[in-house]
Formats: sequence, C-alpha cells, structure tokens
Amino acid sequence: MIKIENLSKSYGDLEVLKNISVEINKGEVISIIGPSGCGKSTFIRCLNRLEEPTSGKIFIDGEEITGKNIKLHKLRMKMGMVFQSFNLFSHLTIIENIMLGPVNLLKMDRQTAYDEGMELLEMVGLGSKSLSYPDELSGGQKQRAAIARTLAMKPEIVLFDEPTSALDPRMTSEVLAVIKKLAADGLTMMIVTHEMKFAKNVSNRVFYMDEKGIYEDGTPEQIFENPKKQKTKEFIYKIKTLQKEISIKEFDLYALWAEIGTFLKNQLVDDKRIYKMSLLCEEILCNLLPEKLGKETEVLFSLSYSEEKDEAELAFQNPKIDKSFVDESENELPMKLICGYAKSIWCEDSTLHVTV
Amino acid sequence: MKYRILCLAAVAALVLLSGCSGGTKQEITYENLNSSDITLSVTQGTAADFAVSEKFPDTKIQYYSTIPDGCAAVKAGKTDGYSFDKVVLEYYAKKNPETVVIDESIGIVDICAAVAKENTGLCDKVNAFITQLRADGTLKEMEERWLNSENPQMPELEKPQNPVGTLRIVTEALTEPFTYYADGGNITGFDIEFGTRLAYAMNMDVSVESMTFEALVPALQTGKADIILNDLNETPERGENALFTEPYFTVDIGILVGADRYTPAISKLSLSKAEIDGRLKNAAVGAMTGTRGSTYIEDNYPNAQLMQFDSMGDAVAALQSGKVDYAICGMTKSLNYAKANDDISYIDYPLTEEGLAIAVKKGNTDLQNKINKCIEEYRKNGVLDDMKKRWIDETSNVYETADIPIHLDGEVLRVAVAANAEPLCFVYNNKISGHDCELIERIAYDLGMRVGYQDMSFSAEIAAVQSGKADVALSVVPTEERKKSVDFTEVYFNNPQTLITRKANNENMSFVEKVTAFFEDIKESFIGTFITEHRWKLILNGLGVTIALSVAAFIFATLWGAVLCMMGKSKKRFINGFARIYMRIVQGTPLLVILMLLYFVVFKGVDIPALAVAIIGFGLYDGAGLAGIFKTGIDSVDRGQIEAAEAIGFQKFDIFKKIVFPQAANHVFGLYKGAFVSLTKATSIVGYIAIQDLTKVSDIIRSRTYDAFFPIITTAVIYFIVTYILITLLSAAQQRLDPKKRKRTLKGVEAR
Repeated sequence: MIKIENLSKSYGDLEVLKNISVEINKGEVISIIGPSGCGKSTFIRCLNRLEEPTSGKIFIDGEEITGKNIKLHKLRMKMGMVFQSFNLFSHLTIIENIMLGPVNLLKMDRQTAYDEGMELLEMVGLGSKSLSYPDELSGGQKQRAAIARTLAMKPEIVLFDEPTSALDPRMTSEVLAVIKKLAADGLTMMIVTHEMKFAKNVSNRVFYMDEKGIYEDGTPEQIFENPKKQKTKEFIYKIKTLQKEISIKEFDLYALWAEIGTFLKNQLVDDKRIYKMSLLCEEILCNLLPEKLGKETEVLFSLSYSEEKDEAELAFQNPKIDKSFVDESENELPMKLICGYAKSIWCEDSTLHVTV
Repeated sequence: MKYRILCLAAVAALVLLSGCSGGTKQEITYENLNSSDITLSVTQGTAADFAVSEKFPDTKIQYYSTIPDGCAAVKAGKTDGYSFDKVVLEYYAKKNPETVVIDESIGIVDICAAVAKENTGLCDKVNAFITQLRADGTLKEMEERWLNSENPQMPELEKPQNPVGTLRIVTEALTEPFTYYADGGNITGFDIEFGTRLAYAMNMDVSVESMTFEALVPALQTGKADIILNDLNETPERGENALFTEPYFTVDIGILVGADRYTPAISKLSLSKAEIDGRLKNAAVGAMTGTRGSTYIEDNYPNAQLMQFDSMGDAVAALQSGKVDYAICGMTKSLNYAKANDDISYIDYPLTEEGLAIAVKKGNTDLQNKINKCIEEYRKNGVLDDMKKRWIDETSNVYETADIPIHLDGEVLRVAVAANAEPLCFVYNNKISGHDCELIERIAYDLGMRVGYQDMSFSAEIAAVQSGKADVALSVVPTEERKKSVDFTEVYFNNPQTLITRKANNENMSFVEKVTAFFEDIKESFIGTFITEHRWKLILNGLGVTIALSVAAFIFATLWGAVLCMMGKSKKRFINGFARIYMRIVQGTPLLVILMLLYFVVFKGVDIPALAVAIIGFGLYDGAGLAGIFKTGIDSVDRGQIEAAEAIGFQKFDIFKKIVFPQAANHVFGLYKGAFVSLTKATSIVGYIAIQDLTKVSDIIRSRTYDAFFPIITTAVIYFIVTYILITLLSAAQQRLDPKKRKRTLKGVEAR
C-alpha cells in the first residue's frame, strides 16, 4: 500500500533520515520505537509531507506522491494524522471540529456529517461532549476527540505522532484503549510511541529506528524478546532497567525521584507503588547507606521492572555490602522502615536487592 | 453604577477646584513690569514678542501658541500678562471682566499682507491697492466698521462680472475683529473685507480658507494659497520665507493682565445696550436736576427710581454710599468721576448723542461761517483727533497742552465759559484751558483775533451771548429751545450721556450669590458656545467631520494594515523588507509631521480635498500599527492547529479563513478596538491642514467667546460620548467573535 524508496531528510547540514526504503501493507499496525531524536516523528511527518523529504520517493497504491505537481491536499485526505498535542481547533466545538473536514472537503451534507461525527464521538466515548470546547476537556478526552476528527475523513491510513506523550498514565490508557480498538477493527496505522508494553501488545510490526534509518524491522516478539542487532538490544535493556552511578555525598534526591517516576510510569506501574519506591530510595540512600558505609561512598543504582512477576526491583551495588548487611541492621530504625515498605529484601554479590 | 457616579463627581470636583486656586500676588503697574519676578506671555514671532523683549529685558517670557490660550492663561493666573495687539486684547477684556488691558501701549505694529517670495507682481498690485484705499478713505471707513462699532457686519461688496481667476486667501481666523468665524461658519473681519476688495480690484473671485498659523507660510510656498491676511506683521524671520506688502493698518501693542492685580486709571465696564436695559429697568438712578440725563432716564426707564440732586457731586456721593446704583451725566464728567474715585466704574456705552457746539449771537452768520470753516478744517487735518487724544482720552490728571500762538494786537474774541468742566474747560495750571478752550484759541488765531475769557455760570452763558456781552459761548448742546435764542456752529465734539456705577466687589458676595453667579456664568457660557450665532451647527458639522474622518481612515487603515501584514509574512525578502522598513519609519515619525508632509510636499500643487489627505495620512499611519496588531493575532494562533488543518487536507486560503482568522480576530479585537478609539481622538490634529473637525471648531468658538473653560470641556465631553458609543458598538461585535459567548447549538442539523 505504501512504498518508500531511499527517503532522506536533512535540516541544513544535519542529516536526520538517510536512504530509508520500506514497504507497508494494508492492515498493518506498525509501532515505531527508538531513542529520542532518532527521527521517528520526522519519518512519519515526511509521509504526509508536513516535512518535505530532501530526496527519495513515496508511493501510495502505486502512485508517487513526492513529485512536484501532486495535489497534496488530496493525498492528505487519505492519510489521517493524530498529533502529540491534539491540535484541536480551539474556536470550534468538538462536533464542529469533527464536521469541518467532511463538510468542506468531502462535501458531505451537514446532517450526514453530524450523524457520522456523533457516531464516532460515541465510539470514542465522548457522545456527551459534542458541544464542549476543546479547553473544557481533559487531555485524554481531547486526544480521543482528535482521533475521532481524523477518522471522520475516512482515511486509508492513520499516522499517530506520539499520541500519549503529553498525557498522564490514567489518560494514556483511555487513549490507548481507543487505538487498540481501531487496530482490532483492521485500520492501517503507524504509531510513534514510547509505550513499549502497548507497542508490544497492539502492533503486528515494529520498526526500531536508529542511525538515521529503520535499524531493525520485525514482529513485536522478535524486537522485544529477541533483538538481533546490538543497538536494539541495548535500547530494549535500557527501557527495562534504569541504571546510574550515585555518590552518596552529593546526589540529587529529587531528580532521582523524577527519573524513577518517569521510568516506572512508562512501565505502567501504578502511582502507589511509585510512591513506595521513592520512599525506599530515600531511606536507603539518605539514612541506611551513609550510616553503614560512610558519606564518601559511591554505589551503582539500578531499577528494573518485571512484567511477569509484576515486581519492581531496586539494586545497590558496592564492594562493602555483604550478606551480613541486612541481618546486622535488622533492629535499626531505617531498616525497620525499609522492611515495612518492601516486599522482599536480600543481599548477594555485594549488592543489596529490594523489591516492591 | 453608584461607584461610577461617585467617580464622575470626584473628577468634576477636581476640575472645578483647579479653577479656584488662589493666592495674593503683587500689584502690577507699568513701572514694575520690567522685573525678573514677572512672567509675560506672548505668541512666538509676533510683534508683541519683540516689543516685550525690547521694553522689558529683565522680564521672563513664556510662549503660548494661540491668542485665546494666552488670554486664558492670564485669566487663570498662569501668567502675569499676555501681550498682543491692543484692540484684540480689549475685545477679550470686554468679554472677560476678570482681565483688563493696561492703559499704556508698549509699541505699535504694522499689519501687512504676505505673498509668496517670488510673487512680486501680486505684491506690487497689493501695494498700489493699499495706497488707493487709504487715499479714498475706505481704510478709515473699515476701521470705523470693524474696530469701533458694537456689532460689525460685512458690507455688501461688489463681485466681478467676468473674473479672471480666484484669489486664494489663507488665514487662521482666530483673531477677532480682523479675521474670525461669524454666524454660520463664514470667515469675516477687517482683513477679509480687505481681501475681498482687493480681489475685486484685481477682477478676481475670492476664496478664504483657514489653517493653523504654522501652516500659513508653507501654504504660500507650496502654492496652495496666494496671500496671507491674518493680522500679520513682518519680522526678519518671516521676511525670509514670504514677501510682505506695505502696511495697511497700524495698531498698538498692549498687555492683558488680571483685573485683581491692576488698577487702571479709569475703571471701565463694558456693557451692551441690552445689558444696560436689563440693569436699569428697576434700578435707583441718580441725576442732577433739570439735566439731559435726568430727562433721559424719565423718558426711557419709567420704572427706574429716579433721584434728582442739586449738584452732580451729591449724586455721586449718593452712589458711593449705596443710595443709588447708577448715576447719569455727560461722558467727560463720568470719566472724571471714575478717574477720581477708585470705587466708581465708568460704563462705556453712549446712551445719547450730545453734540457740543459754539453759540454765536443770532444773525451773526459771518462769525458762524468762519468758525464752521475752521472746525471743518481741523476735522480733516486730524487736529480734532489729536485734541481728543490729549484732553479726553488722557487717563491721568496731567494734560499735554498745545502751544497756540496769539495775535497780541488782534481784536478780542469774547468767550463766555463756565470753567468748571474738566477736561473741556477748566482751570489748569492757574489758567483757563481744556479741550474746548484750545479749540477756540486755535480758531481765534486762525481768524487773526485773541481770546478773552469771561468765566461765568453755565446757565448765564447763552444770555451773555444773546445780550452781546460775549461773542461766543463754549460747550453748548444745541437744543431746539436754545436755537430760538442763539445760533450754533457745527458740532465739534460728541459728549453723550453715560452712566457710572459702584465698582463690583466680589469679595462681599454671600455664598449663595457666588453659587448663583457660578451657574449664571455656566449658563452664559452655554449660550455663547451653542446658541449664539447658531454655533451648535458648527459643532454638529465638526462632529460629523470627526466621525466621517475617523471611520473612513480606519477602514483604509484596516485594509492597508492587512496588506502590510501579508507583505510582512511574505518569504520574499524584498517584500517583507519593505513592510518592515515602512512600519519602522512610519511609527517612528510623528503623525502631524506625516500629515504636513502629505499635504504640503506629496500633494503639492495637486487639487485634492484636505479631508482626503487626512484620510490617507491616518490610513497610512494607523495601517502600520494595525499591521502589527494583525501579525500578533495571526502569530497567536497555535502552529499545531494549522498543521492539523493541513493534515486534514485544507488548503492555505481555507486554513486562513476557517482556522486562523476567527481565532486571530478574537485574540486581538481588544487592541483593534483601542486603535480605533485612539485614531478617533488623534484626528483632533487635522485642524493643521485646514479641516474643521470638532477640535478645530472648539478653537474657532473659543476665539470668538474668549471663554477658555466651557468649549474645551464641551469638546472633551463630546469626544468622550463618541468614543463611549464606539466602544459599546465594537464591544457588541466582539461578543459575537468570542466562541464562548455564542449559543451552544449547531445550525443546520437535527441534533440527536
């Protein structure tokens, strides 16, 4: 359905995409993942030419759309797009947002456009909000309305540009649920996302983008469980583990909390557990370790989350930590608190493990 | 609402209070004017400007751009004095009793016409015309008409049958009685009559246009006008930019000061006939028994309480003690009483015509004719005028006597006089002299005789002539009854019956009287500003011009602003560069300068109405500002929404129409509204290029009423009302733009 040949894009001297060639088939739901700044968004924005490719060709149903004399707006009507920041028209009500395209571009009569729009709104769960203005909706509602607006144009393919990045986890899940439903209905979609779990569950094809191109292309199982290439492996590991060196004397507790929060949220861990994890970190790093090891100590901190066990695990590695560490301090106040929060706690290989 | 009324009341109170600031200041005399403690005001570049700096080198000088402003500053106590042509100042003082013109003149000024520097042909024609006008007495006639009569009217002047063109006169029209707006908004005055006569002499039509003083000379230079007639005098600076004709008139330069700071030798009160009628209707009036004054009151004011006294001195004493409110007697006597008594004011209005003549014995036609001949001659050669100046107009008690030669061996002319009538005939320096005596001494010399005075009581004079004891009697009013006994010569002097009264003293007014006087003032101001001469029509026209100009200019500015805004957004550097530089230059230039440049430079020699120039000027200027506002509006629309519209498949124009414009308009409508109101107020400067808008009209009215306070407040209130209505209308439009204020329904569909 879409064929891309040698697509490149540069901003001045900065080359972002280089010689991408790939084919996308009808009914595919493709997740595009990769580190920040690897050109994921640029790639899908090139597809409907919101960004002008520097070179290369794109064919849709065998028709080239990169040539000069293309009726761009006709192409765009076939290709919907959902944005990270929703981009609803703020001076129009939700139903007007949805009807604007069909009435003016598809020349649909108002009543039909209205009926179809209301159906879509009901499908995304916003039937009662049709006469609200965008700024009266929550982020998740806005994004669902934006999806409805895109669908109203009856596109052949929908491009999602990080649809949930601007949302908090609860709202993220309501939007993802809608996208999931669309996937089940067989709509062709390309989704740039950081929601790894979602990507794994919903899509039937995953692009891992790195080094200015599609670095690895495969099924979700292949990419997430069994990546073949080095950078993919590292990326997949990184999204599963947060790791960093911490100096007990001068680390920034609040920055660490924020990092922990973001990491765990991406793993769809609930707020309560994130809170517990933060308190544990504080107890261990501010009270337990300085007391036992002294202030001039460095530890290797790592945090990982296991989906199977539904467990988050904290690890602190330092040569001075040994097996006796837990037993010795059992009766001291910090350790008592830690035991209160943690599900289990143990030491092995100079490492203190805590799970929640 | 209550809060608003309170605020308004507070503002009104402030305005009123600011007019009541007081404090005692030093008394002003001619002698102490030259002091660094005194601030005199002038209008820059006028003859008064030079005269003041020359006469009073130590005095501080302040500048006011227009005559009404300078006069109003004196009235408000902002300056110690304002110097200008004395006739004009006297006119002001007459209407504003809070001010007086000092008795002394500080110089004279020659009034000329001005033409373009190279236009020597026209200058020569004007000079020849002035010479002719002076020779045939027309100038004298004009002076009489415009400067000395109570309600001057432009006479019917001849118009050329086959005119060869139009003489375009420019004037400021703010200097009554030389050039000013009369009833119905026509410009009239001494200068205008002069110009109309000039045009006729040149066989041309005439057009008169008014513009700001600063614009007059440029109008000549750019060929927008042929001649300036504006009570104008030549100065070296002005001489560089225009060519001045010979003077056609000469006036004194005077100084206007606050009435509470200056005591004139004679306290004069200027009242019209109607005002006098009103005051005398039921008043107590004192007169000397059996005099003409006494009869006059009896005949004309039957309801007045006439009190007759044996002597005029008793009548004056009764006036001073409050037994009567007015006293009536001949002008020379009235003036003397006012001169001698600080508490008495002379009312400057001739109630009757009382010609004084010389009585001769019945049948002595030889002497009668000889004397008549002399009087006729003195009238022609200005001797009579000169005598009047030295004896009658003199405000002190020191008179300048003339040295009349005497034929010591000549036959004696026996003159019956009553030497108790200063300044006509009285004992001065131990000698019988005075105005009438000088006259008879001159006549006697011309007839080869010498004067022998016989001092007697006035009632005996006629009998003395009748009986042949005297040849002539002086200072006699020729009545029908007297004509039966003696013959009379020509009248040589008019000594009408006039009134004197106690000086008004505001300090003794009660609070109620003061409040009443205040409202009386407001009522008078209201009548003067709106009713007199149908001035409300003038105001209405001005208001129409202001509104038409504002609306037209704003529409133009909006269109031009949209174009500029689009140019600014263009990707071509040449186009957006032009828009950027244009906006910088225009916004960095004062609006007035742009208007003047357009009028005098860009449209030089182009026949285009000034109003059109103003619309273009304001459009070009405000267009730049609006372009900035539009840009702000467009930039305020979230870039993402435009992308979303593009992604849906909308094309550029539709995106602008359906997404950008509605949001941008709502975002900047407040600024847009503000720009309109600012423009409306800014149009008040168009008077500079000869447009009579609301502000200019108020200036015109101010120049006539010399009332500083009322026309200004009126104008402010009208501007306030107009802008208030505009804001209300625009706010209603704004309501429709704001999506949140719309009804939440969807048109054209059947809702579920």
